Amino acid sequence: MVRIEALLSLLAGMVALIAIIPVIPYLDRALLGVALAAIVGGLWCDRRRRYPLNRLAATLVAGAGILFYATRITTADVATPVVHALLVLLVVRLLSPKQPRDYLQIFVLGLFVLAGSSLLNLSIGFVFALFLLVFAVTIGLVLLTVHVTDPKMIMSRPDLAKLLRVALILPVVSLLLMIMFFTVLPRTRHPLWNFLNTAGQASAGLSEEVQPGAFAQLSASGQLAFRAETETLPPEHLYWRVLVLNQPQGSHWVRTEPPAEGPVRVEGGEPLTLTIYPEPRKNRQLITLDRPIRVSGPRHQETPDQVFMARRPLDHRYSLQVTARPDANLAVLGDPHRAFYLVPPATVSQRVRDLATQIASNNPETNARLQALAEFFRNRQLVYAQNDLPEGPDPVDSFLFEKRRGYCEFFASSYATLARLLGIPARLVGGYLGGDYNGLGGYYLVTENAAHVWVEVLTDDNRWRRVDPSQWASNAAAALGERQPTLLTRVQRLADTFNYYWIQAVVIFDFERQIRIFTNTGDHLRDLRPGRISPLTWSILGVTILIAVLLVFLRKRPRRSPEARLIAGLRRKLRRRYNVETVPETIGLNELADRFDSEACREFARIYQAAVFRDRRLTTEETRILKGLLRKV
Amino acid sequence: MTLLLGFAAVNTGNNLLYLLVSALLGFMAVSGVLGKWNLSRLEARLDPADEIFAEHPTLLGIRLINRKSRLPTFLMEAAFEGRSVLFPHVDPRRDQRRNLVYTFPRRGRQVLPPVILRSRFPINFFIRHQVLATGQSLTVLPKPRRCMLPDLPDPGGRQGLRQSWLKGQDGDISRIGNYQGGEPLKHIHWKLSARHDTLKVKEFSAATQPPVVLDLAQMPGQNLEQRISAAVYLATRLLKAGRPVGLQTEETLFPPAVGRLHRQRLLEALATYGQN
Repeated sequence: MVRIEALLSLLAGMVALIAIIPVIPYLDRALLGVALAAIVGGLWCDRRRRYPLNRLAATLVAGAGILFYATRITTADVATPVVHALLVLLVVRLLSPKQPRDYLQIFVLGLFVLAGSSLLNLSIGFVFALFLLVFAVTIGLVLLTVHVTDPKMIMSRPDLAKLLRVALILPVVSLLLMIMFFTVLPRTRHPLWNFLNTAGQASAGLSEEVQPGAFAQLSASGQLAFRAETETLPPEHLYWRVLVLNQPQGSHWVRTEPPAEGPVRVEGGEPLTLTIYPEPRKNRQLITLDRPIRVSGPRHQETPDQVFMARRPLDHRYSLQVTARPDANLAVLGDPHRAFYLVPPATVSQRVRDLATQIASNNPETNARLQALAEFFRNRQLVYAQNDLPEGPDPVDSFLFEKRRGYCEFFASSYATLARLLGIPARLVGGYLGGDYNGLGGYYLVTENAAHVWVEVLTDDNRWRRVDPSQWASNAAAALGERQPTLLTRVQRLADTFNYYWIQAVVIFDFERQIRIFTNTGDHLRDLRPGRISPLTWSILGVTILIAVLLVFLRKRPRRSPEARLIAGLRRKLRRRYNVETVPETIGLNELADRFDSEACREFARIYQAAVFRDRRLTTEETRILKGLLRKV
Repeated sequence: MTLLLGFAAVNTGNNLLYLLVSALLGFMAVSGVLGKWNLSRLEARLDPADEIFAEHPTLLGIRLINRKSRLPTFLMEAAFEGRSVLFPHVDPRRDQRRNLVYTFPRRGRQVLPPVILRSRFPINFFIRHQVLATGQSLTVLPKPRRCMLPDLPDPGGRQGLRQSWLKGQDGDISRIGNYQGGEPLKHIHWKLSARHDTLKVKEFSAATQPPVVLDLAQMPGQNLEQRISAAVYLATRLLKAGRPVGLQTEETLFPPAVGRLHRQRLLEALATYGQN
């Protein structure tokens, strides 16, 4: 026998625990300790029916807790103090005497704490906590109803099992309906309380300066930068464009407002469209695939050098659709402002200047100069490396003539410097190179490790052409390939796929996507003709019909008892074995055994009748033997 | 709560809040449907006692029949005229009986009031109910009113002129019959038995009292109801004592008789008297 109140106490503790887990990283250690102790203590108190807080003390402690955390609310962070205050209320409820309404309050507070966690963290862990909480709260509410109806109710285990079986319909169907409601609930384009969503998740993202020589060792993080949904692309097309650095400042390269170049046109290459899901980041540049033609996503502004600046900070999750031609050049149709892109760094060594003069005198044409430059880079046997890097006031000189090792920033800034000295307009482009393709989800995963800098040079026909001098490193193939984490284990790949779908399906679902779903559904319904239905629609339709038929079938045909099923099985078997059309229902088992002269059938009749004629059900052992006999018939 | 979270979701655009609100909405919808299912395909039957007297508390059985093929019914409260019983759970295609104590206020043939089924299941936010008219009717017998037994004349009784109708142990020998197997040995007529092949027993008549006809108009009481109540008291009392009782009303005469059926006829006549 099970006491309903004992079960309720257990569920209240479970609800509190499930609600607390997602917010643990954001809690004061002290309050976390108290909360965990209250969960265990609450169970103990319910068992003993002795509580440390009476009603009055509970009210006072709750009031004091709310007041304390209310003073900590700031415009920058509303959610954390509110979650703390909710947790104080939860603790107080767990440690005070419990009426039915108190259990209800614990369930509601649990849900509110989980809701609060969504303002602190958008990870997929939320959905697990939500699932568990929906199960615990709904079952808890059903038991609470039993408790309210009869506070002293004690149920036998089979009765409780029956109740729980029906009660389980609640969470299971609720979670299924959740998917539908999630899609159709009204959304606004511009939420008013966006400030409540904590922005603490955003990573720094790409540096907005190129500073070769600033560090002796490059420490790159394996943090995820973005995912890009597309088919597999050749490695040489995987240049993810983010920002353009156009002016040297000492030995650094920075971005200044580029001059208006008039209209530009992307030429050559095949267009392809892909969707990019960046991680939240602090800078405002959108990530695109080089060369972008069209970008749609957060509201943004495009500059002439194909940098897309969002109007608002990108510290939330979003997606953007990019149409690009990976193999194309950018033709400037107006004035390209060559002078702007010809300013060399102030700190160029004499050796570098001499090198530029030498190449220029040998190659009067731009294309020849570019070829000579490439030749020079190849012949220098430069090494792509991330440690023991050139340092000092003139890292370009040190890189080209002394250490001859460095990472992409050294290659790019050296190349751009030399190009400018040769009179070829050049600029640095920052972004990412490559990516690891996840075949399960059909997307590229790009980490911060893949950050890369390359160069664009303006040819005589006013076309910006991409040049990646890092590829001329003597160890380019190995080094650039190594930077890409060959995505870990299968399990991690699978986990990342889940995370990807979570972000895609839930986190960034917004008004536009909602409208798109409605429009697409409407279009599909309008175009619904047998010849034009896609296999996916067919399969959805098929599954729906199958479920409907199954439901009707189950409804129409009540489940037969095991005994009736065995008899039906015997008749069917006899029909097949002796090749007769029908075995009349009116013929009894003994008569059947005599008519077909079957020993197995006789034995079947004996066991079956021994049970059924004594008005008892067949035991498991008997059923097993009868099934064995059926096979023998 | 759902509204509050929904408001927060719309205003923050936080999809996780939307998810939570969606789950709560789903929960509300499914709990509504489950509550409706819980009440559906139920029948209620009233099982009254064989004899119910007005103004006397009686046990009234309420039988709840669950006609659903799969779902049990939980926490169903069946209320009858302000009194209720709880059925914690009734399995599908099964029925269950619970009793409640109820006092019928009036005599006569009456259609039973409906049974109201109500349940909080699955969630204690709403109480759903349905009114089930059983369509059953019963006769509530008049309340018996104790009164003095009349001084009943017994003409010729003392002289042995009246024949008893009943078999008994202590009256005169009424006849000699065959031994049936249950008679006491002292009743065997040994002499006669010796002359026959079978055992013969003496059968006695019961020491009995003369039949009585209750005249409703003559019953003690200030009004009709009191007279009917007195008649019920007398009829049950005298019939219990084995005395043949008849009933004289303005329209009908029920000749004196004994037996269960006769008793029922008399009491029903009294219960419905003046109501047709």
